[in-house]
Amino acid sequence: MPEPDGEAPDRAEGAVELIPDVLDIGSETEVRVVLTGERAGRLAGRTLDIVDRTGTISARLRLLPGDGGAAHGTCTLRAPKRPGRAVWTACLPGKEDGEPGFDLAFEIRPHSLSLTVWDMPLAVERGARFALRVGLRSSAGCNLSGHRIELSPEAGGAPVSAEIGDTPKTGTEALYWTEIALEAPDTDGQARWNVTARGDGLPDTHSDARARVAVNVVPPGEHRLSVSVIDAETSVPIPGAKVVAHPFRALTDTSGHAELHLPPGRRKLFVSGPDHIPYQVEGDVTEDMTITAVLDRDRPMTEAEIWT
Amino acid sequence: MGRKADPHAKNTTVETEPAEPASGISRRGFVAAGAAAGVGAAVAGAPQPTAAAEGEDWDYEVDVVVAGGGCAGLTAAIRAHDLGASVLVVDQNYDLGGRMLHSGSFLSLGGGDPVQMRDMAGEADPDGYITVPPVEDPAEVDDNVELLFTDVTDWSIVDTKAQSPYRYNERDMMRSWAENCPATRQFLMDNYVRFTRVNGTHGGGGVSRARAPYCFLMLGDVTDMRAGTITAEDAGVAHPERTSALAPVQMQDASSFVAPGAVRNGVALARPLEFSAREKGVKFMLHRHFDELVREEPFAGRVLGVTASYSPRHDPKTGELLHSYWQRGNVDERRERVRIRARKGVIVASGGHAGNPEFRGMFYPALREPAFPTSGYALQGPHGQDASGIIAGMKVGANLSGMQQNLSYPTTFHISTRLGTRDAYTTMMPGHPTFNFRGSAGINVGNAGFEEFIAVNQVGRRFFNEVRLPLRPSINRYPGGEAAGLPNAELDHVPNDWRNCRHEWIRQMYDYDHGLDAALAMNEGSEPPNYYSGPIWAIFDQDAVERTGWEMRFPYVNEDNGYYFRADTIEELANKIRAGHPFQRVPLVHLPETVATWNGYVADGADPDFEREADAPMNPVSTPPFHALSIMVIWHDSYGGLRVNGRCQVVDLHGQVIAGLYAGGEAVGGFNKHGLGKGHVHGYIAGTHIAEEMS
Repeated sequence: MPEPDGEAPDRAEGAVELIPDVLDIGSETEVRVVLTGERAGRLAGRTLDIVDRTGTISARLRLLPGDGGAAHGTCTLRAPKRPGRAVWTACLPGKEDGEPGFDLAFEIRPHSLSLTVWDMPLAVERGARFALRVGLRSSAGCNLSGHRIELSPEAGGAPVSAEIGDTPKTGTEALYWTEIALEAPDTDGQARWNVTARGDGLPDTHSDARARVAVNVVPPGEHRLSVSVIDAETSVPIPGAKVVAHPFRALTDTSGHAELHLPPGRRKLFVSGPDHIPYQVEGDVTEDMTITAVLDRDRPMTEAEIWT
Repeated sequence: MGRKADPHAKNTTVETEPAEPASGISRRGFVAAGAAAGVGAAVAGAPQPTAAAEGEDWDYEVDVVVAGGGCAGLTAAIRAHDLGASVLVVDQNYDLGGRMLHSGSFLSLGGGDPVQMRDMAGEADPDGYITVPPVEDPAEVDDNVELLFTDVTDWSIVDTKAQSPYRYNERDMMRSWAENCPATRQFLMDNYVRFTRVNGTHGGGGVSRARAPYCFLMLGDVTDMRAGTITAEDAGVAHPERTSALAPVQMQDASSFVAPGAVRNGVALARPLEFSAREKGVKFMLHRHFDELVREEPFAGRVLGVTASYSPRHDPKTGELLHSYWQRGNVDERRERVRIRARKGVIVASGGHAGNPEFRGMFYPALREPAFPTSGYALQGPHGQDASGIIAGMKVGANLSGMQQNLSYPTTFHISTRLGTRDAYTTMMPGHPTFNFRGSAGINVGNAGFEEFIAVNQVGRRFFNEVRLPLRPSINRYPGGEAAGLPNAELDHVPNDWRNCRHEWIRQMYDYDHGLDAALAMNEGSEPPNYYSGPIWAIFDQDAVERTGWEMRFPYVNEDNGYYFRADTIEELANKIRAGHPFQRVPLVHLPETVATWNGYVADGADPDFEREADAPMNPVSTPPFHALSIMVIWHDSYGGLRVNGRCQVVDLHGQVIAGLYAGGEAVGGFNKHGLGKGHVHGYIAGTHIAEEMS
């Protein structure tokens, strides 16, 4: 917990909590400030100036009364462009009422990168090609288009790399991404890749990011499992139901049908959702099979209904 | 009437006629005194100031003070007023009804009550609204007081959590309760409450007969409590995402229990009762928290009155003082503290302790965690169910009862399937003045929805098999059978039979998952002295949103109220939760590792930590953006409280009645009955007997 420079802590005054207390260099970050103790009681309901070391007002902080006599508010601060420590002072405008200011001290650090891998199939036949998507985000939301990502097979072999695309993924603010094609090994079992994005070459200092992904390499599916999913009460087909015999999975189509192509062997089949209680059956797959899964509805009841 | 116009609602509500009360009560019966006289006298129907009584510095004087305007309080107030007493109800909220208003209105009484008799005869209601035949066979509603009393004191019944809900009930109180059920049903019907067909029985209301109808109103062109009609706008059924100032919870279809066009829930119970009380001349002091009882001596003598403090509720956005839906009978008193003399006595009907973390911590220390509220906290405000009545009683020497019974009913604390709102019990939508206190309606994912995410604690670790988190033990009630923990169903049930609890049977029917307890467990983020477990979170990805169709938008979720977060990466999601949730005291440091581990388990098809693969398919959390919805542990209702006798008089630690002090509803312990039936009958009994007290 940062204390004012050069002053002994005054317990009655209380504490200043900053969330977060670490800022990315050069980034604009919304910071939540929580005060406790006597200071909180004096300042709740007031608006403070947040002043940098040059005396410039960087932001304003309106403090609201909180639980247990605390006061809290948020303000947006832009971090300096060098790592280290940065300190602002929060004070009433014009230092009115003789109320002393207090410090907001942050650690300023390089940006960090974060990797996300999705659309990775859980099962791929031996030697088959498949695609996955890899996204990269800077903790400061930097534009990462054109940066490269590398996937290295854990079992050895040539790495694959790809260039990040120009626009963030739909629904995200700054997750830049690309699609990468891979080839499954010829051996059954789990195959893994290490994914790496290096911070070198980006405009601001970034730390590296690493992730690990796995796929189940399986023999060719010899048998077709055809599943029809219906509601127990109405017998109406259920579209969008999950049909899962790990690691194989599919969703039912609009007529409530799904097919899995399975190698021989013992399987547990789950059929579930949406809004239905999971159905499960276990058995040996030795031939083409057809199953009708009758699902009981799990109606999203109100609490009043549940208890009445 | 001082109520702000709702631009979405037609102005078709029929208000109370401004006529003199019909009870014949004199204005001297309700007296404002002292410095606040000007305020009190400004209220229509309020009397003039008078001198302080009996040397005490009273601000108001009345025959009966009722603390709390919920199911017990409103019933008691009307009953006492009907019998000639002047009555003042003080309530901490801005409006009346308490939790009755957001209830399901399933009102289990019995003992051969008039609705059971009506259905047994196959008759319709007096208005002729009911056109559907009885739901239950005549034999299933053929009830009597002896059978009801036997049921609610049955020693032999054990629930699927291996708790016993009936054997510990206070016998004197239960006898009186059973005897007064038929009269209370008639009393409610005489005060504009309309009941559907009987359909089963509420938990705690016995297992031998069907005893519970819902309350209903008919959709119509006007909202008229006398006629039993309500507009679609007022009922909250005109728009799927909007309710009204009259109905905090949108009303539900009741056509299968009444006729096409019938709607039901607590609105059809609370509002008619409130209307009747106001019409008859009961007075109300709202925004007024009942604090203390005034007794002649600290632990001796009569209870003389109460002290109550100003507890205004303001709109969190506009800062405006909230106003009750109806105004007639309101006493606009805004002094910080007032003393109110009760010449005949005080009825404590201010609710239980479910909203008081310190109090409920007596029963389960983990639930001192303030992140987890009681149900309907937005409607009731910060003082709802705060144990004030029980604490006030304890301060004047009252005994307690049923303190272990919180553990015997599965609503007491449970995990809600409604995610993304702190107020996770109710379905309140925008349109009610207190919606802004919750900020989001939440998303009810049902039990099935729990397979779509991983659930993590305050440091970002999983703690239980997610799909078993919301499962709850069943309740012993009619029609019985194995699902209700009983070896026999319907009319084959045998009360007080040892076979109901033979250990072979208990082993067979025991059905309780302890996910709730894992959710409340200490973790590495828990710190002394309270070791709060912290909030819990559902973490899922965009694929889950697309699979399920969950609507991640207002009014279901709100990215600004601290109960829903969305982010590009798991790391960013953890940071947002830490910064934006009011009870997130520590960072979710383990969340990235937890998600990576989970995705590995999904690839493996096995969850060695919690064996999820045994119950449901496992889904990766990998497709951005990522989402977090709060999961709420809710303490709904409470069962330990003041000990009362058969007249609902509070009894002290020496077994002696505290003169002038009555109690009812959740403020009372020793009656392990869920819901409204307890409170209404208590109110009826207390209102009857307090009116007989000498002034």
